[in-house]
Amino acid sequence: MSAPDLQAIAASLYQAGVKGNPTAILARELELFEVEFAALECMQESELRSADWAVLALASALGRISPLLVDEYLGLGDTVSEAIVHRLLGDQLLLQDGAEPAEADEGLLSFAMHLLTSSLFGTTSSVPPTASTRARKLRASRASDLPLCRLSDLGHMALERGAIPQRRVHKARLVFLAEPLLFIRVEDDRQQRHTARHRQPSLPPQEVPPSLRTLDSSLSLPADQRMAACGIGTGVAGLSGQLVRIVPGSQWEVRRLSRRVDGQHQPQTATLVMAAFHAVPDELRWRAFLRYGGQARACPQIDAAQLIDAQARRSAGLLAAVRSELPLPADTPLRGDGAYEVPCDSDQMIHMLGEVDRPCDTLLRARLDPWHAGLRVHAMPADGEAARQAFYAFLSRSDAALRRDFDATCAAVAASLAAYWGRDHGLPSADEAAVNLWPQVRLRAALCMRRLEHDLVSPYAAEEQTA
Amino acid sequence: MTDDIRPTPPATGAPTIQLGRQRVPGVLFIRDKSPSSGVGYQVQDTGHGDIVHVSTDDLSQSAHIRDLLIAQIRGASRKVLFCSFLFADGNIVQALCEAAERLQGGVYILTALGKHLRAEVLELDDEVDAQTAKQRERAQRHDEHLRRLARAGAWLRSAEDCHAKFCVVDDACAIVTSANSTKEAYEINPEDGLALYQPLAAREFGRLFAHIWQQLTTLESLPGANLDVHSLPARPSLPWHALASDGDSRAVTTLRKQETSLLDAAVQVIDRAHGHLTIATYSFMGMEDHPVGGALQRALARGVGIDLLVQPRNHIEAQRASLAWLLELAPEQVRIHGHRRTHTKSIVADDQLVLLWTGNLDARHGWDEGIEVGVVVEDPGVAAAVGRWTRTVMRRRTDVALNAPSVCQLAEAGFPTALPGDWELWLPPKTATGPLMGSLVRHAVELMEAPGQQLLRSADGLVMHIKVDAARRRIDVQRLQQANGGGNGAARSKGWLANSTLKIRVSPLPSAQQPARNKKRQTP
Repeated sequence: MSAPDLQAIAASLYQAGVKGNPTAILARELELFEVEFAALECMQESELRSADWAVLALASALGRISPLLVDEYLGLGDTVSEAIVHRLLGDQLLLQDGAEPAEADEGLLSFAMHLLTSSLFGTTSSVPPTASTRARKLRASRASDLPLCRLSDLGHMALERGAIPQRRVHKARLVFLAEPLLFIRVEDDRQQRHTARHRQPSLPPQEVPPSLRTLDSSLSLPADQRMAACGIGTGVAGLSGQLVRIVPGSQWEVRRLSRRVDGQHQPQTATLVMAAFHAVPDELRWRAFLRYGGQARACPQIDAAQLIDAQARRSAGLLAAVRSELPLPADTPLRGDGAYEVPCDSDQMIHMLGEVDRPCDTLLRARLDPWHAGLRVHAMPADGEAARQAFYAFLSRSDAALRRDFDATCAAVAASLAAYWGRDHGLPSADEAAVNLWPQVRLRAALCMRRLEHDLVSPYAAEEQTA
Repeated sequence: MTDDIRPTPPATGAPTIQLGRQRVPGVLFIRDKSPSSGVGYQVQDTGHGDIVHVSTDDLSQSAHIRDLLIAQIRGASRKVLFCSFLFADGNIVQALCEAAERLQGGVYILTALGKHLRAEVLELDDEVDAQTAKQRERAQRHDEHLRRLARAGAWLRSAEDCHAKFCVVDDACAIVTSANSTKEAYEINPEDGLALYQPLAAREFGRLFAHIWQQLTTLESLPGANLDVHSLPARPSLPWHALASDGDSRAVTTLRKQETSLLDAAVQVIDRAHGHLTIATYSFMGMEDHPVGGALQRALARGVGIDLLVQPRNHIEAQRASLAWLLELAPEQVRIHGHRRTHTKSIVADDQLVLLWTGNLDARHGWDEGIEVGVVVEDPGVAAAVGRWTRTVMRRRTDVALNAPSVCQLAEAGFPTALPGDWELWLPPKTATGPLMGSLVRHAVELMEAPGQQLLRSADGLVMHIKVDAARRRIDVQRLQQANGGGNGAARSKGWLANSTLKIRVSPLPSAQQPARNKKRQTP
């Protein structure tokens, strides 16, 4: 995998709304896996109809209910009353009196129980409470007094929520990072009809990353624990309903995610980013991000402690642990703004300026295996020559401004460097800069434009005025 | 009916015209068969400390003008202003590059950039075929040199109609010369110039350069690694204050419509001649109705003698006509000298007063439009130096002028001839032969060739589009037209008809177009 573009990563963190500049960025490019589930179980709720709600409420109030009672209390007519009661029985919202809860559909109930918080069902009793009611019979009915029913646990839950939980089973392909396990996205089959023919074979079991072998247990966790385990909470964008689990006994296949480029399969990757922010002296606060498709998103569920050595999680330890292009002593001070302050000689200064057009901190490339690292460095000139090198480097990057106003640009660059360094290093004048920049052919236009007034305008101004 | 079976009209009675004695109008040049061999090159001393005459020694190919320019450029301490629409001399370019590096800029060059390098301003002197190759080669050298200059730090700008050639160094020295910055101009062509070491004159030339640079240029290429020609944005227009003078020399210019002091100077110098005018120009055209022509006419009327050095370009009808006009004003007072490579441009009055400039005696260019410069010096030493130089070139003339020579004279002088011998000239049906006969009897006829066609053109402008059948000695005229004086485009002369006899015949109508009654008579 190629070295990631740390500047681009830093920019994407900023675009993701991250406040403040990180002291360090660690990045790893990781392979993406596509997991194809044969059966993912989700729950979707549909609104409880008014008549159903009224019957369930009546059952809750009376303790027992029959078509006769429904018609007498609600006045729905004998035919409708019998139909509703039988339908609610079929939906397991009512239980025939005398039937044990175990006779109900354990699957749906357990599914609903699993889905909803335990507090809701913690108090649920298989024996419905009887309650006094002020409801009055509206009329005498000729409807049947059988079956006699009572409210089921499912019916009790539906009454409470005003909705009926419905079970959905999806066949779906989800994309994950394996280490750490992290959900990325759902593949949309409607947009990838070609994939069935062009997909690579699934990985043999021994090549499937461990975290993907135990997806059934990971996805079955309660939403908050599942979020921590794999980044999926209650819902999954792209799947209707709330994810419950992998249907027990169903299969899933794992493939390396790839795209075809010039006839070759190239693995698709995402970048896991750990960004360290300066907190208190020598303390770093680490945050995880995933960068995929040029955009970064925060992954608060990922704990840096799982991924980075304890020593390297501290400022000084990080310096000791990394191998950088410019070796930094372990006692390199960390500024209040979270950048390492590094004194640089001329050569180092040129190296540290990066490619920007104004003085700012740069990311010093380093390695902290298996991570690519960037340490934010505030380069300070070790001597006057280093300061001059920086001055000329920034001038050479300011061709357009120099053409507009050479002297003002020299002054502006000198001022910006003095402000950045916090001291004046006695940078060259515009005249001296003009002499020293001449070897740079690219800047000759600016240098010639500077002297145009002196050569072709002012010498003849007097003649023009007196003529 | 085909040509093969068409009945040939009886030969008897067909009018016949003998070609050869007719005269070609205007002044034509023929090779001087006995050129002066004892005329050597001499440096002309002006006797004037701060005005130096400089010229190309075309005999030994010593580049005195280039040497002087390079010496000045190398001595520059602040800036070099150089104006030449063409940069085809490597030595000058090298000197300018070195100056730009040494001065770290300060080298400003007015030249022809991009589309401004037009063929017509290249002033090529050979036949058209040779011109095309030379033009391409010069344009390539020019382009390569501009790249070198840009890389070295010279700043290039271009005004489309700037034909001036001058150089100003540190506002202390100005050199005005006829020479473009080409190897040919510096080594082979008779060229000259004046170097003025006079701060006021030099500063005025510098001011003129600066005004052109700031106000009249439309293209530029900034110093940099590559030649990058781009348009300049419109700039606020500033008024031009006419060139000032003080002392015995003064700068003059044609600065489009803004200043025409060059024209005034030319007229003034000619008008001040009492005895003799020595004039050198690359071309001489359109002077008949021009103020300079008027001044020449007045000078001749005063009895002033004129020696005129000009490049003998026989293919330019306008020049032939203008020269004839001048000669006919006073045949005894005017002597015209042709030199095939001359490019020098000056007017010297009585060896007392001289105008040396960068344009030509061409009414169309450089007098009330375009940009030219010149210098007028009222000093016997300087004027005599320029005059002596010009007369030296005149004595080394390569060509002799003949006014209205006959075609036979031209043939004897070696001019190419065409279609010798007896020919039948078949005119289109129904063509009236009278006017054609009248034209051919009185005027010389020239065979012209254009892509895909041949033409016979008589000197009065009658043009016949022809098809020549050499085997049958027959010339079929397909179409006649009267040229309106604009020439025949790309047609080139293949030679005069110097020894030709033409039997004039009119083709019969094709049978299908003959009158019906004739057809009836032919029916048995």
